[in-house]
Amino acid sequence: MTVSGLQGLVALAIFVALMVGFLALDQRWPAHFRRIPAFDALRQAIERAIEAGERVHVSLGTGSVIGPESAPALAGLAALTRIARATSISDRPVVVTTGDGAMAILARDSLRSTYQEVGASELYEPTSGRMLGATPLSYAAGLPAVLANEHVSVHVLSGAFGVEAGLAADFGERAKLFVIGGTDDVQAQALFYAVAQHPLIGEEIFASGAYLDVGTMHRASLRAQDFVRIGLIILILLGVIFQTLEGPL
Amino acid sequence: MIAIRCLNCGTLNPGLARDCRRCGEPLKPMLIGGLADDEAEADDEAEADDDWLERMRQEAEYLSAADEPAEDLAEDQPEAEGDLSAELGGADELAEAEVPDWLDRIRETQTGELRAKAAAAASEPAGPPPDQSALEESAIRARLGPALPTGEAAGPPAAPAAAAEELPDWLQDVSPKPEAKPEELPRVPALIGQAPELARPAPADEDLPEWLGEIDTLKESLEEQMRGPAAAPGSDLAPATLPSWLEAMRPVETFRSVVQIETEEDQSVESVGPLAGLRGVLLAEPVVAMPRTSTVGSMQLDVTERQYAQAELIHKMVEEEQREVAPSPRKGTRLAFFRWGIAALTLLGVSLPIFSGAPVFALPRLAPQELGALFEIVERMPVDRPALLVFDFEPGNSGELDAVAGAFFDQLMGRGVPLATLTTRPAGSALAKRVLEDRATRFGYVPGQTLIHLGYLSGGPTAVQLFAINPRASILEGFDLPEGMPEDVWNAPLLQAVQNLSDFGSVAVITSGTESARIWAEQVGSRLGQTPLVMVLSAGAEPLVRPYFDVQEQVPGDRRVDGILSGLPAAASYELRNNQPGLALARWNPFGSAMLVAELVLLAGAGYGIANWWLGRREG
Amino acid sequence: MSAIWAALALGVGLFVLLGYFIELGFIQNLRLTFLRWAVLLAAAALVVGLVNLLAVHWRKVSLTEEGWVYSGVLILAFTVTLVLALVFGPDSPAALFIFNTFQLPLESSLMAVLAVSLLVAGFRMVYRRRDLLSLLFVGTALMVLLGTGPTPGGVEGPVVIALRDFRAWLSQVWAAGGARGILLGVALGATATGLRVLLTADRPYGN
Repeated sequence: MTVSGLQGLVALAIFVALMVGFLALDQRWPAHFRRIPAFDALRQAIERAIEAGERVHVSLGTGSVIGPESAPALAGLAALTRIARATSISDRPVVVTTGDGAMAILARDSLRSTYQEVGASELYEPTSGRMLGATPLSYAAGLPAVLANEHVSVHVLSGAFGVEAGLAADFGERAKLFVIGGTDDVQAQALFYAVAQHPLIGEEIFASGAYLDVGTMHRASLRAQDFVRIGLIILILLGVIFQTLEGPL
Repeated sequence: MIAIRCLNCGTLNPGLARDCRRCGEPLKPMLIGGLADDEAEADDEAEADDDWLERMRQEAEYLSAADEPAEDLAEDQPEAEGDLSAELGGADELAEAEVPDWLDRIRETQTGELRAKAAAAASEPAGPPPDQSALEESAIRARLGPALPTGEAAGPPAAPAAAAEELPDWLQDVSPKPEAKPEELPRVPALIGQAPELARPAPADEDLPEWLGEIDTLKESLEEQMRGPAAAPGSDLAPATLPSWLEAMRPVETFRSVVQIETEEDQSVESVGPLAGLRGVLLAEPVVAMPRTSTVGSMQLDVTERQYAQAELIHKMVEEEQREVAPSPRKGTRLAFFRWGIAALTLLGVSLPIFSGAPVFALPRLAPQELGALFEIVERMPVDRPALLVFDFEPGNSGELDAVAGAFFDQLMGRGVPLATLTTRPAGSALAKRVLEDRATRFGYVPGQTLIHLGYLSGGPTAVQLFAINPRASILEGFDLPEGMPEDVWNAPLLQAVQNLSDFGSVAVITSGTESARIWAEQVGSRLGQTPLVMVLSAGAEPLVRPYFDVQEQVPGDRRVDGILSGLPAAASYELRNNQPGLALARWNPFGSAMLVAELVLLAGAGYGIANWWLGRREG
Repeated sequence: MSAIWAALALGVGLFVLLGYFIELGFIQNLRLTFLRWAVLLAAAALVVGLVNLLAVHWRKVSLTEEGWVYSGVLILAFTVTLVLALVFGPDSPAALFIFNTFQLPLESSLMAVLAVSLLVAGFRMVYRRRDLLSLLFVGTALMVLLGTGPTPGGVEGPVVIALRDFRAWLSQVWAAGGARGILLGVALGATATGLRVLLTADRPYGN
């Protein structure tokens, strides 16, 4: 095992330990996160959609299930289970689209499991989770049809996006929908900030599970992220100070 | 056991009988004071409580029996008494049964009032027309049968004198004098519509129960409220004048009952049930009691116009619920004039230099710093080892990247470096062929010998990692290989010497995304050895990839990216340096014009927003 | 049954993860094998996704739902392209003709639409949001455009050069620094997400 390998393993072990530790302490030391207005607005928008009998559309992006671009899509899947649970009482349950075949399969599995849990198995349809296109721009080109024909009023973009993020958000804005967008790509985040009503900047997309009350493990993992982030900030500051002092010395 | 009177002939029957023993009609006991068949098996406790009620009822029946033809009464009475004597204990026992004093007094009062009324009606030559409700009531009673024990005169109200004359002696003896002052006797006053002149002071009789006195007091207070404070006895206060708006809010007029309330004297005395002996009891017979079935057999409902209208309304409401609402026709899409305007402006900016030759923009004078490094890398590339070109962008980005990478390809192919292309996108192979086909002809490249397409590497970043570890295992077939080429593309003469990634002369990644550039830099860079890695990027990807290039300047040997070319301005500089005008220079003026339009639009938008905010703030 | 899938996911994930840190031949080989399987499965999933795509649009056409004409065009184009590519090959002139005539111009046009959409969004941003960050965003975009784009007329003057240097400073210091910070956070979030799946707290494969 190389040194870098060992370092990586140790870092991983610390992260896991933090997650498990925060999970155990969740009852005694409840988590308090800063307010993210986008998630508050999303809750209200979903409630309104349910009351109005309109649909929520969740987009898991155009990234593949293998590779680093699967992470935001998995975060989107966690949010999807929560949204599907909430909209199971609606006249029009949630519809999920993606630009990858494997992600579409995962989306359908998530929907089926969620509907089974809430005792609404009859809501599941194989077309609830669908692939709109094999390439990013062809996926974006298929969105207007879904938004128009499925009576969508809430447009959730949560996954791996590229430049097509701007188009995807713009189609929702033009249809006067509630648009919330989050991704891991920095370029796409800039596009969301410019176009979407409620952009999620940075790693806020990975906090969606904790903010939407998906589970205690989500809260624990978010707290572990915060802990490690603070540690990294301290290390960076120390490194800057040492580098700065090393010059004159 | 409670007796049941037949509604058809008026015969008293035992409580458990189902059919009348005289006429044979099925017995349907009245709801008030009667028990349904299912409830006939009442418990002993209920039976004991009902004994005194039954006795009262039988007394009332005696009263009503005075209205019947004498022969009917004579027929019924012995039979009824004979059958029921064992259960009810005979009329003597009934007469001697204990009746609560208060009820007895009430009955006496009402009986006296009846007599007085009958006498008054008989003395008047022409009285006022009978009350409509009384007429209706008598009509109902007539329809339901003459033997219905109502405790009052069953005939037309025009002949009340007969009722008074037919009262049995014992009742006449015990009844009070007709001229007794009603105000001295206890009574249950009507709570609704009581006229002030009928108000009676509380009785002075000490034997009256307290609740009767409370009723009178309550009645007085209600009357005072209706009259207003001015009528309150003993009040020294000046009456308050209600403002008009408050007067208008009084609900008295609004909620005045539309039902005509009879005067107390006109109200009938209930003869059966727990309310026997009381006046003002709502009639149950027309609504609750089961009328005898008509022998004629007419079963038509008597439906009024109002009921028809209500039924129709409900029917419509239910129909509307069930009917699917047809989707409202989608309104014509409102033209997005502003968006079209911006698009037209952008199109104008791009096309103006093409068609009119103006405006003209200054060519880039200063080349980027990294351009020199890239130029040197290409100049030093070996011509006996192929260079790997990775096309990692979507067809939509070809507009920019064709122009940016064109200068790089021109220099590369101008030196005669053999090329192998690879792509991680499904459409990348077609893009590579399109970009290099013309140049291949121009620079004399022979497909399969100096130019070969390895094809599509599926699997994304994972596949890139696998390719970096073992290229030959990751790609088996090529793309658009000329005829005569071996099936395994790695057996082509151009690639026979390539076993690892480091066997390539150089690796150049043409991409528009930061993520793919980073993946190639991190996953592949460490396995290249001395082979240079070049990034040809879209302008937007440069900020995040530049650190990989910058780091090598600081720490020699620890490099990831050796050369970088991003954006049209850098490509235009490259073409100027190569002295080979290409797409970058051809698009320089339209590019500049479009950028100018974009700058003006953003400036205008910011100004508009600020002005709007400022004006809104001024208006408060 | 769900416990079996969870155990399988956990086992495979652990081996692939450990293979990045531990350089044991057995683990490395296993990791590569799993990665190759993943690539194969992703390709198979692409086929499943395309079948699903067809099913959705076929249903639309069958029930003549709103927009069924476009679904019909999609099915027709899909079928023609698939047949041509299968019969003549993906590198045949027919397939390349479809690519060069339809796909390339269409996707380029979508990028042009994106450019217009971004301009419209940029125009409206300050008006809609009315906060300092929006003003800063638009101002930065303006500075980058001024520093990137060419200048009308003549030779580049000192002002243009100064703008270019300012733009380089903006993008290489502020933008790159901020992007690095975001990437660090994203990496942490991705790590947490992956670990949740490994610890079977998240089961995207369903129960």
